Amino acid sequence: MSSRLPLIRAIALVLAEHAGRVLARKRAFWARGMEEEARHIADDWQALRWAVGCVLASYKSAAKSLPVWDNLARIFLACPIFYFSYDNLLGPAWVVGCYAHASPFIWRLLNQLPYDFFTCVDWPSAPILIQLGSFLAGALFALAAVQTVRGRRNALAWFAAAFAASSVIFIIEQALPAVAMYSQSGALGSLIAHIAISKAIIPALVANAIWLVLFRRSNRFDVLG
Amino acid sequence: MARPANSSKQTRVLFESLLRAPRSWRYGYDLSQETEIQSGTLYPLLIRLSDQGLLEAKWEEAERPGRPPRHIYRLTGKGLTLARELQSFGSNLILSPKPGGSAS
Repeated sequence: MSSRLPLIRAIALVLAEHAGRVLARKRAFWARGMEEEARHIADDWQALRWAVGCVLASYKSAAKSLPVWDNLARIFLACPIFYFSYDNLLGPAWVVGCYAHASPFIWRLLNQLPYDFFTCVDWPSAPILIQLGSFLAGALFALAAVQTVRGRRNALAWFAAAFAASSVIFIIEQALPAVAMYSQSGALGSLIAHIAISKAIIPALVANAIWLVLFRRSNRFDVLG
Repeated sequence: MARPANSSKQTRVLFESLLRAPRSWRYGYDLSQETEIQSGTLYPLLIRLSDQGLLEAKWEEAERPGRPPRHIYRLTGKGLTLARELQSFGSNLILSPKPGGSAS
């Protein structure tokens, strides 16, 4: 003969056991205490409510002990830096592509535009120093982004160097309106785009960096783990 | 300005509840009933306070055979000192918990 528990109590005990199992990896003492406490609650619904809370607490703990949030934060932080990299590498890549007669094909492939829409800029009309500087800035941004994803402290230094290089190149190219490539693309448009990106991204980067520092230092979130 | 450690409303209410019978051992569920803090918040609090050396936690063997053991809690000396300090500095901020029973 088997003594059957009321359904609500049975669910509560299953949940409490589950909470205990989730928490047990890091906190065996507390996991068992949590689990056993549910057995001492006389009212079935109260036991269920208690067990649901235990499940929430244990999952919170499990989430905190995983590096996933930290990784997500770093990837989130790296995304705009990768965008900066792309933005800086695009110009030199385009010129090299033009030189190699590859860009029209890529443009048509990506944008589904007729070939005539595109005007390729020949190599001599794009100052080599600007292209090299832009390539350097893009490479530095890429390095900063990779180091950010890897959680390395020097990411900020690489970002600062890349941002400085990019700013210098930007100022130079804006000061040379005679350069065919940039007069075609529209200096004002480029300026607005850069300002908009900077306005949006720099505060986001700073906020993220602060959040990461606080996250690591205060340990406030790690209440269980 | 950063908030001082262990000064959250729930922590204060829990301290207040534990201070009502400072040398008595208390059950988690009873503390939850008294303070109206749900288990999902109470356990993280208890664990944090225990990690900080402010709370003692141990097993109490069941009086009746067949009953499972149970966790019991009370403030350590350090916890008592901090709880009294918090009480004296911010008694007007502490909510009044419902009076309740204790494990011993």
